[in-house]
Amino acid sequence: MTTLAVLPTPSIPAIGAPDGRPILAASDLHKRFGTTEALRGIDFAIARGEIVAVMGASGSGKSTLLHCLAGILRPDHGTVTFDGGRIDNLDEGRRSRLRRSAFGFVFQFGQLVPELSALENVSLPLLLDGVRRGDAEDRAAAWFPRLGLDGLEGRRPGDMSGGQAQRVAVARALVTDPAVIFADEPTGSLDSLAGEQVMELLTGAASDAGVSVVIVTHEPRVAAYAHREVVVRDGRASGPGAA
Amino acid sequence: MSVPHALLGLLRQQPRHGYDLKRLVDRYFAPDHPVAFAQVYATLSRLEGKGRVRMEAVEQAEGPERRRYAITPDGIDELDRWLVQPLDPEPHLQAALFTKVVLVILAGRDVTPIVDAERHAHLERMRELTAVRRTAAMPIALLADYALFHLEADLRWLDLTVARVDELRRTVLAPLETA
Amino acid sequence: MTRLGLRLALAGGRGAVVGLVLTAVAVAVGTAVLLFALSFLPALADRDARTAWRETFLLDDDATSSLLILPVEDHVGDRVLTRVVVAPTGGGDLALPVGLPALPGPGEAYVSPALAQLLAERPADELEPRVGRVMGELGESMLASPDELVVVIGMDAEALRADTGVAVRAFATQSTPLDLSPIALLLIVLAAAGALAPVAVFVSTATRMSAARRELRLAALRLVGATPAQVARLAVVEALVSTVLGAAGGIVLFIALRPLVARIPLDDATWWPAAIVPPPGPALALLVTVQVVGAAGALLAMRRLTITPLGVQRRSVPRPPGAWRVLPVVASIVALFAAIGLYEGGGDVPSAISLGGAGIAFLGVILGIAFAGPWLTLVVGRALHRVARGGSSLLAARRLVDEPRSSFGAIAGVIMAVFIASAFFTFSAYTQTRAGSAMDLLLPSGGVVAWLGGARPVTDALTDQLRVLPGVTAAVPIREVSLVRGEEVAGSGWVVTCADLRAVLARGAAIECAPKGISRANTTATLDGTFVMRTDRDLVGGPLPGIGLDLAGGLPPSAAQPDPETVGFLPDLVIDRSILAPDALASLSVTRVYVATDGSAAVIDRVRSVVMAARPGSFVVAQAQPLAANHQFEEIGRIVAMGLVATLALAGCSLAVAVTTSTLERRRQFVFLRSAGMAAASLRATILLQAAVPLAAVATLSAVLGAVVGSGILLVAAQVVTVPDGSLIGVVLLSVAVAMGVVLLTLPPLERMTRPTSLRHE
Repeated sequence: MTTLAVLPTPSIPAIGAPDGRPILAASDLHKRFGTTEALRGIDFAIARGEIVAVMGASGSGKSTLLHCLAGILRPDHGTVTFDGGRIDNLDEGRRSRLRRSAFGFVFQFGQLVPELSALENVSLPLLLDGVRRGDAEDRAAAWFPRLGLDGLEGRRPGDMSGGQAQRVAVARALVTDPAVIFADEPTGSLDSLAGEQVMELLTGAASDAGVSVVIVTHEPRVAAYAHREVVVRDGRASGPGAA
Repeated sequence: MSVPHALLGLLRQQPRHGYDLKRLVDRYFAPDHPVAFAQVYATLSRLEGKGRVRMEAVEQAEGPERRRYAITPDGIDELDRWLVQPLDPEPHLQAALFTKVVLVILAGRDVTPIVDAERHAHLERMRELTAVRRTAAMPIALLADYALFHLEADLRWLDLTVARVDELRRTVLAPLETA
Repeated sequence: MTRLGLRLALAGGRGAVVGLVLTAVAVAVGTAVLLFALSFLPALADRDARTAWRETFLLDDDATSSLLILPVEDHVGDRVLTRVVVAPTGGGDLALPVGLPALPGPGEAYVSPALAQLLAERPADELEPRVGRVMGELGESMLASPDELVVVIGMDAEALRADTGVAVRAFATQSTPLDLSPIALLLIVLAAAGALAPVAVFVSTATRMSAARRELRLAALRLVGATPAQVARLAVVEALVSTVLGAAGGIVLFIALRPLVARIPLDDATWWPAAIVPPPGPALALLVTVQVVGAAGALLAMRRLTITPLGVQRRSVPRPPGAWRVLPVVASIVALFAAIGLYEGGGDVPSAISLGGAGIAFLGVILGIAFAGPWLTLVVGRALHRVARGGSSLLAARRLVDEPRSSFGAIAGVIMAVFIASAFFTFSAYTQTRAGSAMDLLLPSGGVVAWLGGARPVTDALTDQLRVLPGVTAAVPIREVSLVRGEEVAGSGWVVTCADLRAVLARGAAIECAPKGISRANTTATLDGTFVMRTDRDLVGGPLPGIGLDLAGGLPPSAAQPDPETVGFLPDLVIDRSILAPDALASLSVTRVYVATDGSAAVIDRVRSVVMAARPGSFVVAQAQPLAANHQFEEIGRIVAMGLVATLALAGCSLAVAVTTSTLERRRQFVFLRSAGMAAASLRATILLQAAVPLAAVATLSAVLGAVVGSGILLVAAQVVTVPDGSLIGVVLLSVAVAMGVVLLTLPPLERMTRPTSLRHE
């Protein structure tokens, strides 16, 4: 308790404040897999520039919520709106395009293509979106110093540490200038220090760029990087942080 | 552990003798460090003085006299207020948190809102500490880390407790019925 | 331990079972192919034995011989009809071949079952006059194949002797071996060698499919205390499961396919299924070898890995393949040419050794291509990486550079098919150009020529009979004569109506009909003086009385240069029959009739019937009818083409399995990329590019190499320089298209398995 006494209590939030308008919202989402009801009427909203942590036990439905919000899954019921337009009823092709251009993704691990260099990995979303290779690699290269990755452009994922690989993944998520980044247990396979670095860079860069971030995590220290947390329990939002 | 709230919670179940209260407090909340009789009686008289419990009867069978205590409406209010209000998030909260969870179960209430409130309060504090860590000098940042890890440990423990709440409820409630 | 191995092999999950089954299927296919290859020579021997009675006849002028036999090749439509004309001379002992109920009398016939059926189906005038009165059917032991058309026709001995002059003592019982041209034999050897390569590719691809899981399983066994030797034994047991199943399946496949394979014609005949039997010794050796190779392969694969209790470690990180990998191809090509040279050169080296060496060297070329493939793939991948613009091409290029071995492994089967096809098409292009110089050069489309031969005089009556057949537009009788001065034959002539001849021949324009009735046909020969025209006689019989022909003063010079291609096909002179008196004309026999028809098979068959009925020993050629030498190549071409289709099918399966395996190995990445918005089209493009780019490049190279090998062999073997034609490009395009089609087929399931939604089911 003495430890706490010496610590100042700053006025919150310390990192970039959301402006209040929701960029992505979901209401009354239901999703069923076979006999399992993963989501049972969950509501969610995230403002521009806001960082929200989605917490919950394994199997609580938090990843399903993320997949529905990101347009990877289509909910059985309920709506997801992005920037004022519904996206839950778009076909897979248009949702793919949306994910490619408006969203960024950071997963736990294994998301980098082992055959590609770090620079190629970061430029990949741009290339897949039809950007010319030279332009794509220029834009990708700009992210390397910002994420402390100077000099790693030519490395393969196999020759990098886990933290470096995750930072490359963060760069890859940011390179398309997305409106929302979805991070699913982004530090799940990292040690504490590497995890802190990744979270600092992810939330810092996102705030600088005014990007909203949805972080699915079960780690409170990771959730503490968010402006608020949403707890998913039995497919429903729970707790005071819920929107 | 908050002995007054533990006693209130046990009395909320049913009126009890001082001796039973001591026994139950030891059993549920402090198996390693039994509370002294004197502390139980002192606490009971303080609570009685504040009007939160009252002595219901004095029984004199063989041996010493036995006083039976019951909770008052004021006592119930105090207990409920304490239960729903999150504790100040700080390291080494486990004992208090644990007391709270057991009492909530004893009160026959849903643990979830209590835990959510605690988590929210913890996370609020952790966010502050995270912000501190980002800006403060290294020694302070290290202290913040220290606090963060302990708060996280509390939260993890809370999550585990919530996950095992049914099991806990069974073991907490079972001996009461036989007592 | 063995039982544990069996249980593990079978209980290793769906992937393992699929891999095991695929391997077994591939082994089965390979075993069946080899069993058929082993059966080839026994089946040929069986056929020779069955046809011996007519293949060989002993020429004998002895008048006391018991039998005259004349085999004549005839056609019904485009099918060969073997007519065997027999006539007992009354003397000696008649030993009939088994299967011939009795010797047919004049006008009687015994027919093969297939011919009996055809007789029932065809209009009477197309076939019946050629056969006569059917007395019964020929037995199986006299027929090369179930659908062979054979008729044994009885005839009067005197008439037959007069027509042909043949004589024989008895039906022959010894056979002459099938006359396969050396190039054809070489083709068969090479095709057999080539057929096995894709099987090997398929086996290795199918094995790879379950390799990762098997390695994990073996590592788990090491963790609980299995020794390396025990693990090796388990691996061998697992391998044997597939090879034993495969060998058994191969036998089943062999038996199941035998009736179908028996329908593949060679030398104009299909096969008796029961005759396709591999010799027991070599067959057993083959089945054992398959097991040994399977077990050895498993041990070899184990040697490259160290299976520790903590998992599998590659002995060493494979180094990128180097340019030296092309050396074996080059060496094999040199060896191949050397072997062919030895074979053609004759000399002291037995042909079995030089041909076998050629087969091995050819196989070496194929394996060499497989060996060089990874390096080529690497080079192609690097090139693609340099020019890659989009994400898909970048992903594909990097994969090629990083995994050149497995990337090439996927397409290796198709590459080999392309090589074999290219080498073969170079051959067949050569044989086709050679086929033009055949005896039907003078025949226009729909034309028929009947060589009547023989000593019995033939009058214009036969021609009149032909002329009135429906569908026949002209029938021109030709009396071939020698121009004799003293005892010397100075030239040749055709007595015919010159204008008719010009109209009925394909190159009739080469003849300028002179007003005086005697024209130069295609010659610069100087013929001056008085000659005697005599009917050309075949074989026997004394000279017929001749007719004088006065060519005093010589012939007018011809304005046209002789057509070099028809020299030898046309006589020196065409003598218009109008300048001969009727009785003089009658003294010359019609030896040849050119018939122009509308080209329909029925009309040609009627023409044949009329001619054969009149002169059973005649030889009739129709323009549509394939000629023997050409025909053999066509048949072998068909066999090779079937082999190629099978090869390509097998290669396609390998490709599908390999593409699926390689995509699923990277399933996680693809799922992530698609979650992050990679379009399904980009996934498809990546998979397609990864297969198509090296395929197109290496297939082209392989086709060129095939052409080089093919034309090189021809140069050495036949001193012929060939230039591959457009069909080569066709082969490459077709193979690549088929392969891409196969890859396209794998896309929907792969797309499903890498859906972003499959993230949660990990």
